Amino acid sequence: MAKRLIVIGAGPAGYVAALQARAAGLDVCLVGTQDAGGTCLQRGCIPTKTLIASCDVLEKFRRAKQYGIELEGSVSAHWPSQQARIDSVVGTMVGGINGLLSQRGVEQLPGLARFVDARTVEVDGARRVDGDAILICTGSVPTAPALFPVDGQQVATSDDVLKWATLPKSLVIIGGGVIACEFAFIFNSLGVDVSVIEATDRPLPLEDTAISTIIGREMRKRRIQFIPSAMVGKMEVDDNAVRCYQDGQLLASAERALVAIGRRPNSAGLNAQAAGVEFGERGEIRVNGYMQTNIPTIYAAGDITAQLMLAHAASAQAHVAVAHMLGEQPEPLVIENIPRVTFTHPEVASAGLTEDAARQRGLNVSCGSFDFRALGKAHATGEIAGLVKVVADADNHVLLGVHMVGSHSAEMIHEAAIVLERGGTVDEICHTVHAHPTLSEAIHEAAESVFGFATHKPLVRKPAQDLLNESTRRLSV
Amino acid sequence: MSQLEGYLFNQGHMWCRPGDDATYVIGVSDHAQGSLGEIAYIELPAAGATITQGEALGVIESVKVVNDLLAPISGTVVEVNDSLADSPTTVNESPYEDGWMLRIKPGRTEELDELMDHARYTAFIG
Repeated sequence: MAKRLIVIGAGPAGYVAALQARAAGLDVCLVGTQDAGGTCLQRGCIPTKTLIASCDVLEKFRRAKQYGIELEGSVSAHWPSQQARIDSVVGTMVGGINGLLSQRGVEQLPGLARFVDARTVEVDGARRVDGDAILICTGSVPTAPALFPVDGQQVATSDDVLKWATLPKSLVIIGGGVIACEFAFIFNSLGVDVSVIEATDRPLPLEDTAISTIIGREMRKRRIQFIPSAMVGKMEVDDNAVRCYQDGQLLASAERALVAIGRRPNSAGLNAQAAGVEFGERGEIRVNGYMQTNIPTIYAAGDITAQLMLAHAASAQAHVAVAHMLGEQPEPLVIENIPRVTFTHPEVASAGLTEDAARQRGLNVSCGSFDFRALGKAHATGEIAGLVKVVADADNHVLLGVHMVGSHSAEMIHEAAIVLERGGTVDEICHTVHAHPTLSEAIHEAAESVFGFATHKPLVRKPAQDLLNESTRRLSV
Repeated sequence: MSQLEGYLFNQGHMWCRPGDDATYVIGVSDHAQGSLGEIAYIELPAAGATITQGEALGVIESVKVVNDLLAPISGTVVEVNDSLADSPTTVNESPYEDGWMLRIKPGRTEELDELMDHARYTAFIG
């Protein structure tokens, strides 16, 4: 069992590991505290959610009349004030992390760590620290191939856009994944003319197709131009515009571009090879189910492992790593059951398998879905777009996945995560009374719909052993 | 209700009728719009797209439900009623006239034999 732990990186994996290890009585040194909270807090989750909160207020004002509110004068967004609010929120949360680290007695070292050997790291080329366990949590950075001349201004990554002094009139986003789609809706709300170029045929290609379909539709409603099945082969930049081409054909042009085609593990300057740590083909550190590298005293957690680049996954991995170095046998994480949330408008959330993934595993799949617009609460709040889709095993009713798009979906997905985590059935959701009036009623009705008897939708009789997939809906009036 | 001359319906509650220049015009029935309630959004294919009888040509969202629009006849879209993008409730107000959705150049006119005239459609919806 480890007695002294060196944690490299202070993001959602690193600082959480440091707090947990100290609580368990380990002597802990956390290196990299100049970036407390990591990408999530400094440049990612929290800044963008703060900005989305501004966008939500703006949109509510624009729709005030729908709620019986008359406004006098005009409503406009003020970008510098929104940035100031982001700084304020981030500052508050950084203060919270630093306070917790101090209160627990974690030794905090700002600076970049470089491995000297399997037990020792050097910080900023000066001080050396050692431990009998080391946890690498150095995160990830945006992927930006040389094809895209990233300068942080005209051609930017997600690390840059929140620092822009002004907003562009138009923006082309390369990529159609989580980061790309969140920024597409954000900048659209702020009045920017947005185009999205995606290599696959749909936005959020890792989500269930039913979810992508609705997000694509919501994009069209907002006049966000989505260009599917397109790969930028050449990007031209001059003083006035960024132009994206494929095979000589202009795909889109805009005042600025955001390159959001993914993230890659960050091991810059780490020199983990000096300790003998094995890396994978994508530059990720290879780990076992306990987040242990090929060197038994060295662990890795978070984006550096490239398993699921989400903050809460990083924290969960950190918990597993620390528990294991304490001599416990923690339950390895089931990556597919970790909830995934995307803060588009409306929000997207999912956990478990998509319908396609479940079918590819050869399972006898049955799906049920329910539209938000059939809920009283959705109408009361004026947010009727969206649905919940439940994927179940038709043979034994085991819940395989839940996929939702709609207002507050990110808050609602955890019901599904709990059932998935314990290998429960869709019947358990059906038998659980859901409060009225809530949006969570959509989960209940979607679960009932797996069997064809959702209370608030037309009755569809499904054969008991061969439940029909109801992914296609017809005009059945 | 008086009979609509020239209008043919499928079981998906969509109609088509002859238009100018050997084209056909497509929309949804009055019964459909009444059942759907206030229509909030209509997604239609662009001019030049092909549609296939019985398959979804687009989507209609009302305040109550979201449904596919099933093509009553196959063909190539030659004109889209763009005004529906900003005022989809035109379909509620005038499903057979101003609320038309597409004008198409038909592929196989024999497909029309599979549709119901207004009298039969009225009986179908009971």
